[in-house]
Amino acid sequence: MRKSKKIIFTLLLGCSLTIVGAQTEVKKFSLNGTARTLAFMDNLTQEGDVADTVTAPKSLSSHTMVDLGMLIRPGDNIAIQSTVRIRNDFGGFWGSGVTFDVRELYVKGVVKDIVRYQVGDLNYKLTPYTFYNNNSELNAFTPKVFAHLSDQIAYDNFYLNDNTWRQQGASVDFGVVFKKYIDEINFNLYTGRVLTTNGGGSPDRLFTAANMTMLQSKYLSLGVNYTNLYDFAGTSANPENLINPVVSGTANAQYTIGDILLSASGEMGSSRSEIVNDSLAPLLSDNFFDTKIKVEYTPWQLGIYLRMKSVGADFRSPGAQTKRINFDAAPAAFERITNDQVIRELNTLDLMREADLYTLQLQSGLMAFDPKYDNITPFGDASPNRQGYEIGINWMGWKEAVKLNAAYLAQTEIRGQGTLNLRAFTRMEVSGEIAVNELLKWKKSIAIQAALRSDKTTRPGEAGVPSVDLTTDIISIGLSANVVSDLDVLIGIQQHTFAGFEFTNQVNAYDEIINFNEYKVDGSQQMIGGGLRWNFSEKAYLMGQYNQLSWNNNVVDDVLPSYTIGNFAFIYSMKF
Amino acid sequence: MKKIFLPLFSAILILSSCSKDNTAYDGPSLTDIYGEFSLLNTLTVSSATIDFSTGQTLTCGAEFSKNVNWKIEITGQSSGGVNTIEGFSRLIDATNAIWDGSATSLPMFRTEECVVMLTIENEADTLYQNVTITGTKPITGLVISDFEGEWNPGWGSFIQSGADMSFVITDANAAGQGSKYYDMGGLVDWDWLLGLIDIPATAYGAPTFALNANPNNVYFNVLLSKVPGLTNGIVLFQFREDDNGDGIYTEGEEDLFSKEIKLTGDDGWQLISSKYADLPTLVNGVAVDPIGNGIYEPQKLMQVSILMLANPVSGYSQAYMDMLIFTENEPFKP
Repeated sequence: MRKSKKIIFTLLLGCSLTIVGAQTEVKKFSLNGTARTLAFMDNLTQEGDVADTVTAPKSLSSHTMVDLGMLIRPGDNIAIQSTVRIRNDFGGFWGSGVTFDVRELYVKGVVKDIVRYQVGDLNYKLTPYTFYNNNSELNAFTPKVFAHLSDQIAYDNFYLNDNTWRQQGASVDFGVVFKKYIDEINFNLYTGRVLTTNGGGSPDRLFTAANMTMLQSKYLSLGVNYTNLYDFAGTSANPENLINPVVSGTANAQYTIGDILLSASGEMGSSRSEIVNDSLAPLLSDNFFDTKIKVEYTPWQLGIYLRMKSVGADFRSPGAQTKRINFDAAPAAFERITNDQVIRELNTLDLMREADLYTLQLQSGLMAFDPKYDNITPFGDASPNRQGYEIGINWMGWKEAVKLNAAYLAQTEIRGQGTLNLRAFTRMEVSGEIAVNELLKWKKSIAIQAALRSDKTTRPGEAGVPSVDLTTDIISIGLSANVVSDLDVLIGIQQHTFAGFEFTNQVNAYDEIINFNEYKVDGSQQMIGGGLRWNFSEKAYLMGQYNQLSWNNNVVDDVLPSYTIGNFAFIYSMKF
Repeated sequence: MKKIFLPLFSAILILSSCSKDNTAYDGPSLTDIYGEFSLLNTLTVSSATIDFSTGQTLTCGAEFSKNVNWKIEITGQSSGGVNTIEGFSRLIDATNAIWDGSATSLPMFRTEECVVMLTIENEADTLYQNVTITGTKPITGLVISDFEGEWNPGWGSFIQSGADMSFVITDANAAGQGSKYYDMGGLVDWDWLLGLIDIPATAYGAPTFALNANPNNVYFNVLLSKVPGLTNGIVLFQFREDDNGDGIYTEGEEDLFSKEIKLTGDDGWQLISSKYADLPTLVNGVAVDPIGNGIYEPQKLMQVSILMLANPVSGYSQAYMDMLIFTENEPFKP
């Protein structure tokens, strides 16, 4: 074996520490961080025959925050990062309203130029079925003018663009390079603590993820993934312990015939979820597969794909199914409205600016979701009880000034809920971006983004059971233009309409459906806004914008009225 | 590369063509919630007469077109006792509708005529059957008294010389069990105590009551009835232990556990049950440290006292008492 294969250990590509081979001077100590000031002024207007004399119609909130980070490099192959957050809500003086938190703390490095490790806070992911931080609902339909708000939430909750989950634990990565037959094999291993024991009935809960990817050549790669959310037995007096392992295998292949690039990818695997020593807890075990074939005509940058998938009803993968949005939470601004002080349900403005509505940690079981936002893929690709296909087309033209994407998805349930009849889901999605200045050869940038999604859920009724028929449509248009010097103008609109009837599930502590709630909606929410942004540099800007959220509720006798929230936002953001 | 790509392509197509069976569903049936209801088989009972004393049980039956919330109420025509059985099912049968003669709402059943009534949630129809009890359910436990007999000469009592005093065994009203009960009442405007009964173990021929030594397995039970319109009655049960085994209870040196019941709730008969190990030591109604060795020792219980109390400024007070019984491992099931 030694003669036929000479194994060479190397660092993984993308190692964030450019320590090995770095001949340039590296600072032993450096500061980094983020600073921002956010201020909101809201004005609530409610419709209805009876005036609300209880709820204060205006609301102010503002804060200044600095994340001050220190990167220390005590040696060539080690780095220590710590970040302290200082936040001051406006109106607090001499310590009142000021908070100090440790936002980030980790040590990372490379052992013998072979093994990369990180201990403490770290970001990690595997595949969309094993360990993946899915984007939140409507995330892809946020015009840039609103993204200035939602970006703050993503930053606060460590939601990066690469869909990693922020975890606390330790990871080890290393790779092996081969001379023949196989290019390389990469290994990744992570273990972290998700919950700490309370010393009584709740044990420590850990999450372990492991991956091995074999790059056979530029044509083929194969991978094996393993995750497990499990209680560490013995860390509490409670003998009942959750275990939820997920195993999957992946394959990616591509082949070029002239100007045509053929690619195929797939993942298949299974999960098992149980609570050991709990006789009442069900054993949930199921599997999935997801395959995709894509044909791309490279001269036109035109691609067409077909995707087929099936995810079992009992497939449970906490690393991939944990949602960002906690739909059980209530908004902080105007939490209760009307004279009866009814709790207001979440709207897009809340979701764009309230970080507390989001999840930071992996959850066992399936979290609650709101069908009006996404009834088809509420848990991302790993949404259980779905099978069907998706076809799509991507095109990029005019020197990449125009990008267009379109997709059509058709799925059904695998197992009925309350009936043998299965829900059917269809989704049509179109999005595009146009760099107008590139087309017209202007120097100042002008960009237009537009997106449309139309979802439909149906299920026939029977014997007095009402049929399911829920339609949701989302359309968003955004424009950003550089007008003078460093001043940009941004405007955007997002329209979300929803109408129809659905059932939502009542589940017990074991995630078993015990009843159904009628879910009837007929309304819309429209977010429209515009603002001016002054760019001090690529890393610092000042922005003032006005947004208006109009919530229309047409359901007769519903306790929540239609309302409008006018919002003025002031944002100063800087990274250093 | 073709050798790899083509098999992989084929495997993807095969996988994609797979679909799963659909032979079951999650959650309760929506048809049960929304479907049309019809009665397929009417209410039946397994026997028109029933003798619970021999261990017989009564089984009810019915069948519906869908799962429904149903309720069977069996009401004694003489006692007024009620037994309720509830369920959510399409079938009513021996798996979910068996009656062993017990009552879920006091009084206890006697040998009497009973009406069995079946009601279904959200449905107008009510179905009936009749059953005759020829023998009541056996009572298991150490019965101190069910007051069906005469006054036990071994008992002691003290009754204040107030107005309208009535400390008697009587059948003037419906008893909690059987036909007789103990009536305690009167007006005493100078003292909380109206009267008391001392029931020593010696009245039954032994120095202590024959109880299990484990206080967690012993339950004290009594049926008490609050008289309509009166809310000032307090019944205090006292349990004296012979800690040192000398055959007498020494005040201030040996354990005296108590159970205080304030009659402020619903009118009528109620079952009061308490685990022996949960009985506190009370002084003027306030829990204090134990007087004696502080160990719950049911096997050393030498006397049970029942004190009828009322605030002297609150006027006339009255309560009925029946079925004083100790049970093992679980509370009394009337």
